Amino acid sequence: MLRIFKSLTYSIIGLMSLGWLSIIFITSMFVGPKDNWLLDFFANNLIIDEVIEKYGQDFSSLAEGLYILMGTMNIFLLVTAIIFSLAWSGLSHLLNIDSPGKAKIYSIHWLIYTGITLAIFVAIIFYFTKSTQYNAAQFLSNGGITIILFSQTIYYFLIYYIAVIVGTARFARSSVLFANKLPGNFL
Amino acid sequence: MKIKNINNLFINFLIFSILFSFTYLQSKELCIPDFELDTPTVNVTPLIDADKNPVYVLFDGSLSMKGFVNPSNQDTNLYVEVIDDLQQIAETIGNETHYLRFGRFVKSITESEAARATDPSFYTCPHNPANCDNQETRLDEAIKTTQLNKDATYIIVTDLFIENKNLIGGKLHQLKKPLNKVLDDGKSIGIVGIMNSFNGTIYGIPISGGGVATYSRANKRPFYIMIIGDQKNIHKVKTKLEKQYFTNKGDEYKFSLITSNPIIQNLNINKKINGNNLFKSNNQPSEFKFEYIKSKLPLYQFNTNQKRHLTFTIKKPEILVPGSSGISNYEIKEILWNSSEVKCKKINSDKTWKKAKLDTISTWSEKIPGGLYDEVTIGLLKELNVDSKKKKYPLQKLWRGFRYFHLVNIYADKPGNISEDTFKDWSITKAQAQKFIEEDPVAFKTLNLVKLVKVLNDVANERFKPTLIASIALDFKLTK
Repeated sequence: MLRIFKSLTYSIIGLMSLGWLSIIFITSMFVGPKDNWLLDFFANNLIIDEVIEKYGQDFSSLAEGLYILMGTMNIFLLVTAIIFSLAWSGLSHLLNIDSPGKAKIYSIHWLIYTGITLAIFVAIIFYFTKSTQYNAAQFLSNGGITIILFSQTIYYFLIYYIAVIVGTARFARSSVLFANKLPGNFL
Repeated sequence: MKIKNINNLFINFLIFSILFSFTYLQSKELCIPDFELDTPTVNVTPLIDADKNPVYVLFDGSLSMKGFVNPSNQDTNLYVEVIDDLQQIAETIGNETHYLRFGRFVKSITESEAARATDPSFYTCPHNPANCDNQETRLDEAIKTTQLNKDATYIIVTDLFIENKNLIGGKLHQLKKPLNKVLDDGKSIGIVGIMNSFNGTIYGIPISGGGVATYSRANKRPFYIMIIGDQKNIHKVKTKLEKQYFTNKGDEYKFSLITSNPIIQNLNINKKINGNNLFKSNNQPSEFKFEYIKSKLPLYQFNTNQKRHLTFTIKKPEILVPGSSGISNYEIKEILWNSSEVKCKKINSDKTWKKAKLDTISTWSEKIPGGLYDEVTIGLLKELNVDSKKKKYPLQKLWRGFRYFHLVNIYADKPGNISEDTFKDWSITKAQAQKFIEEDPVAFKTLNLVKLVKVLNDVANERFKPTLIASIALDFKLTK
């Protein structure tokens, strides 16, 4: 049990290695749009600039809704990354690995588990950017949605992956890609 | 205890009613962007009686007309009956009637001479055949008489058999000049065509290689009554003739009105627009409200989702002069504002209306191209959806959660040419004439009739100015 708690602690540290960025991002999204590089980035890369211009609107006046969308979406993505990485870290201690080489068999389980995590990331992003739930999604260009899809998926996958690498039980590390490269005395 | 309960219930109901009425009032609050309404340029009410003026009746005295009054005609001779009635009709629409005869020249005639227009001798001048002016039909000379009195009505009875030489160069100019003046004075030209029994010779038919031929084997041929004057008088003559002789129109009767503006009225001035022009009563969106703002502008307020087509319809008889050439093109001038705020209080305080930089975003269509009795349908915002295959509903191109204000001005942009089509079956060109007589026709056609109508239309169209038919405004919130 102690090992599980240790594992979860390492996993949380792993989550925090990149997760702090997400928390800052989410906070700034809920604070609201400010005239800074982030607003410029949104305006230049994520939204349908020419349509907004055609309708006589100014992005800065429409940005609030998009900020709320991005903030809420990142909360969902972060929570998913936390839940899935901690769950794997805890459950890895319960894997039945009783002979050498058996851990490698569990790499299939890990791959499927990671695939499901990725699919949930993608589904969350699509829900926020493609459905009619948030009106601000209308301002996103196809290119913008692609940028969000790839950047957010990769980023939250990295958070999840780092947390899983450092949090997986030592005897099960062979099931996680590159986790066995960690020093033997780690955890 | 019971009374106390009833009192509580009553107080609760009162509070609820007051709160509800406030909410309702707020939802119907008016907030419109700043704009200037286009000024209507026409509000003609043509069928109102005015003072009576003189009437001039002109008879074509050319020899080709004789066949209409030949006593051997066995069929009912409408020409004779119509001419008799025309003299009575002239008296009802005018305060005095003058009669003239025209051929190469125009000559004043007495009432008794005019009565002879139904007799063959009128066209042959038996007492003075050498000086009989019956060899030509100079319509330009007849039309020139319209300069005698600009308030008068002119009724010209003729076969409109116009030689090509009279429709080119100087002669054409002579024809157009008085017509320009007539139309400038706000008058119109009505042409009534009547297919009549015929027993005589048609002269001056052009044949290939130059020269002219005659034709005597026709037993039917149209004659025309050209009425130049106020629209009300033209319609009086037309209506009386129709009631008397053409209750069953068929192919024997045609009418066309040439006017410098075929638009009767601006629908806003006479408040002819209502809620049904945009939504049928069984298809109204939620929160629908219709009212006139700025005294003349009909405003439609509603909430809608993106799956709705906005089509505004105008019944053509409400805007077009009956029997006219109609309108062949409409122009839609429009402005679309959008606001990310939907509540009036916020819109007004933060000035959130933004004008879209869009050109024409609505289209127009009609069931019968150029028809006079169908509808003009304005597909509002239809052009927003450029790729109609990809997105079925135009409103899907607009942002949800926004409020929109759409100001639409509908202009009649170009007159139509229905009158040319009306008379197409009764017309032949110079090139067709030779072949036509070789076919040995029983019903003879009129030379250059369409060409003449086209000349009249051209003169009228030169005077036409784009006319505002209707202005409307839509104020709607776009929901999911």
